[in-house]
Amino acid sequence: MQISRERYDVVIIGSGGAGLRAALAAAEQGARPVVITKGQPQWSGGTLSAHYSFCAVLPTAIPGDSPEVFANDIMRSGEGISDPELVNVLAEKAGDAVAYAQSLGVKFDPAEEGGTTPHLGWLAGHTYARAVHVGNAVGRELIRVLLKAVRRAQIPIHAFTSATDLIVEDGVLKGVAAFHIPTGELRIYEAPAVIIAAGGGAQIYELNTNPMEATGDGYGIALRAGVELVDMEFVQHYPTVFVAPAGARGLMFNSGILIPKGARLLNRHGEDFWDKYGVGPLVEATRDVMSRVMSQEIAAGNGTDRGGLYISTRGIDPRELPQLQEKLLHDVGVAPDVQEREVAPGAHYFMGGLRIDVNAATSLPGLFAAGECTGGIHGANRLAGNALSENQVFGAIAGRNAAKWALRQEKNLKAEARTEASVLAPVRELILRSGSTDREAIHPSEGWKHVQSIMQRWVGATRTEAGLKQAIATLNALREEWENRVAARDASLPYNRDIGKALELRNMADTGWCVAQAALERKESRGAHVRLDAPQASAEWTCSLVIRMSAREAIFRKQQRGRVMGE
Amino acid sequence: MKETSSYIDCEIARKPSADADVRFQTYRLPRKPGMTIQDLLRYIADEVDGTFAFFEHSCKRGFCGSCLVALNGKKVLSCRTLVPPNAESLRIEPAMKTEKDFWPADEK
Repeated sequence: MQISRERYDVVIIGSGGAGLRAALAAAEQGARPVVITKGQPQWSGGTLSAHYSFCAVLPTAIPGDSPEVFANDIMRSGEGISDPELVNVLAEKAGDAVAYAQSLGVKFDPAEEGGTTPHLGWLAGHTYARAVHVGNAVGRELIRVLLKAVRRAQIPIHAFTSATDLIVEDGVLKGVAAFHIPTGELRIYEAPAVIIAAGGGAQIYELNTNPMEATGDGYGIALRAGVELVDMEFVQHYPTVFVAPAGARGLMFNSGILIPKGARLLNRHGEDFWDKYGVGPLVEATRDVMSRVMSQEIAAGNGTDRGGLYISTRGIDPRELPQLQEKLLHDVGVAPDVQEREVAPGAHYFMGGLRIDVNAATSLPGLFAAGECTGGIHGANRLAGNALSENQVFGAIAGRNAAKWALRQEKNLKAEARTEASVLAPVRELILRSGSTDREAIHPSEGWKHVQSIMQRWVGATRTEAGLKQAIATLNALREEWENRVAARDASLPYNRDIGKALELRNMADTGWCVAQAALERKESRGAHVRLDAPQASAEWTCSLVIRMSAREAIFRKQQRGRVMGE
Repeated sequence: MKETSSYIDCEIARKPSADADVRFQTYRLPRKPGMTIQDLLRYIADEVDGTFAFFEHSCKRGFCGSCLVALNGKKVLSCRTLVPPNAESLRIEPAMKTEKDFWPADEK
């Protein structure tokens, strides 16, 4: 089996906003970075899906706004468990991140026609309007300029290259193992510093709003290397995601705009069930409250056959509906004059992830991380509009510090052959099983459906101890099976889609297992984590749960965070 | 035995490498309501033919442009185009540069 080998100062896993920003920052320090991405940078990553907002306190902020007010908004939304140090960095540096994007050529929509001061949009949960935007495509614009700058700096980007595992020897990071799908070759990237910027994992749920690529790769890679994750039980669910018709499944229906105009939620019997939950008026409900109530109504047996509810826009003038969205919905089979749309809470964003400090350093020396794959900023619930701020601020910090770290290390970092062999073994065996005619073989698409269905059923927007235990047992079995039975259908390696999907499946199973373990451990309800068997928040749980994997078992510790608040 | 109308014959462009000639392979697929052209390609790749090279970045919302294909000669975004309900057959080809079947070229 062919193994190629390359050496860099910094290997960056992921080519979204965080990864590209990190690459630029690393190069500015004089380091040699490489970006490896399982897709292609112009089309991959969650950043591209950020339509509207990039929140920051600018020099032209609304009077009264300040980084402190911004930080307090994030802390409040995080329900007491966000890391105040990380939040402060985000709030203080987000303005610089906006300025940096402008310096690369992003032209934010101006407050006044022809002006240069960006318009500030208001988003729920923010005390002041502080969201800059570019039409409805701020993420796409950001990726466009970052990618242009990365190419100008001649930073190599290796597309269709799936990072599989970190190479760690006696606690020392030596690089990254990867699989290059077009050639079917294994690769070793030797490097003293690695940045994980691999995005989120909402694809582990059957109903989700994310790109196909959001398979939790960063979490899987970190878990298998014994790196600490934090807040993994908190998965933000967007409340109104289409469950039907089939072509619209996974698309978001903008309830935030339509509920204030009078849209209502109905169950399968056509009843407006909202008031029976006693959580205040629907118009004031935040996304997490809506998701919780809707999931409870579905769990009570009042959902549709497809596990949804209806959002009714009866009585609202159709011209009030967002027109671009309506056009898309019509194209994928939603009748233009429909007034009841079938929706349910769908997985949207991972608040948790690799535990980082203010230097974007993880628990493994030399390993840094940035963006959605990290945890600690958003706590139990993410405030809208902060994903780009986070990936730009911490992408820059990660790139800078990884470069500094790398330039301080000795250059001889080749791992011993047996270390590499043991890291490569599971993937090598997967490759060797390709084309297997064994009747016991599991094809990657079957594994995908299995994980998605388990997570949806037992580890979704509402959870119970029994369900979580069931999920963990099933996922443990699948994780064993992955090692022996998951196989690509075709033996030919170049462009073998199944191998890429199998590598993603491994990360999905490990990520799902981790979410379920953390959700089982946290015996209370808070933010996006709802335990039907422990429905109240508990003071003893005003802390984060740090989780790492050792010999396939979960090791926990609690981390007090909120204490800086109010002191 | 299902009626023939519950199936659709799809002529799908195949090519073994970037410079090779395209040939068309016909797949007879079950017709599923609400299926997009991208769902159809994914179904072939995941359920029918393990040799079919297909990669979807897929924002899934008709936004990123990565899923452009030619459907019966006309360029469409496959994630926001439903399989035509009355068509008995259709022909799908890549509309962008590819390396193998529908796998995108790694353009710098």
